Amino acid sequence: MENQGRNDNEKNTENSRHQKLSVIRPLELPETKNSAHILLAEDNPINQKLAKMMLIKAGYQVETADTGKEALDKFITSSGGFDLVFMDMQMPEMDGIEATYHIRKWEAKSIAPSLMLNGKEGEDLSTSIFELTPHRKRVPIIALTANAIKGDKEKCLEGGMDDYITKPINRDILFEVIEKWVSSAKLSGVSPI
Amino acid sequence: MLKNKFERLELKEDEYIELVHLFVLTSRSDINKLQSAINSNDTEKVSMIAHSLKGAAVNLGLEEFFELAKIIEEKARDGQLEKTAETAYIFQNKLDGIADIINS
Repeated sequence: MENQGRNDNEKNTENSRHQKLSVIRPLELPETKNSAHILLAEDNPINQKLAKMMLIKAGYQVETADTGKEALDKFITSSGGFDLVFMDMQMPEMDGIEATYHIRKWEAKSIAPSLMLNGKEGEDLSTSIFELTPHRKRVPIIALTANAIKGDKEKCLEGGMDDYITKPINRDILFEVIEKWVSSAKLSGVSPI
Repeated sequence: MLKNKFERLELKEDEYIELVHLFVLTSRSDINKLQSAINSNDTEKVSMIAHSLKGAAVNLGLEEFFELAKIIEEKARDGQLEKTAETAYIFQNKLDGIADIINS
């Protein structure tokens, strides 16, 4: 009897802890992170809209792209830059891996002029490019994969992505990954020169 | 019927209905493309379209549609296009059903 009572108590405490957590969680995101600017590249219109709804409701600023090509264009031409990119792996015109490759290549040119100093002698070092570009940090790119295929994670990471989440889109995982990467990128981001 | 689905996604009812409405529109157009792909024996295209239908359905928690799209995808991979055509027809009827629900 006594044991039974204690188990019930434990269960109740556990339950109320869960309830408490689920009530508090949305408020736990600091405002600074909620102001993050996110680029969402996803070709499926329903999934794109669902993810956009979730992100906007949490206060994030969201830009969308239907293809990898569009994502690349938006990334390069964005005036304020992005804090994070969600990149679908399979997209028409240009897939997520290829778009990431081009983004990283463009970032390397824009954010690391010191690398260019090691280039060929007499090469135009284009400091003007550096001054013109608003980006000063490597932006985290998170892959959206349709299924957890073995080896897919390696493919994303080797392709210049930082992390991956698998579909179906889960609200909690979506926010977890933003919290993980937006804050760490802000902490370790290349400081403006 | 749809109540627990939008609650699970932590969306409001009207937001969820907007998504289902978009699902019905895009799926109808996808099913049309799928039928012409079946007619031209393009199994690769059939399974690609079914894969996209499956992805949308699972994100909205529309299990019935997910299962049907999965059958279409698998049968197309096996080259059984007759079976995919049958399942696509069921999918289409179910779309009409869900369209009626959200329009009412």
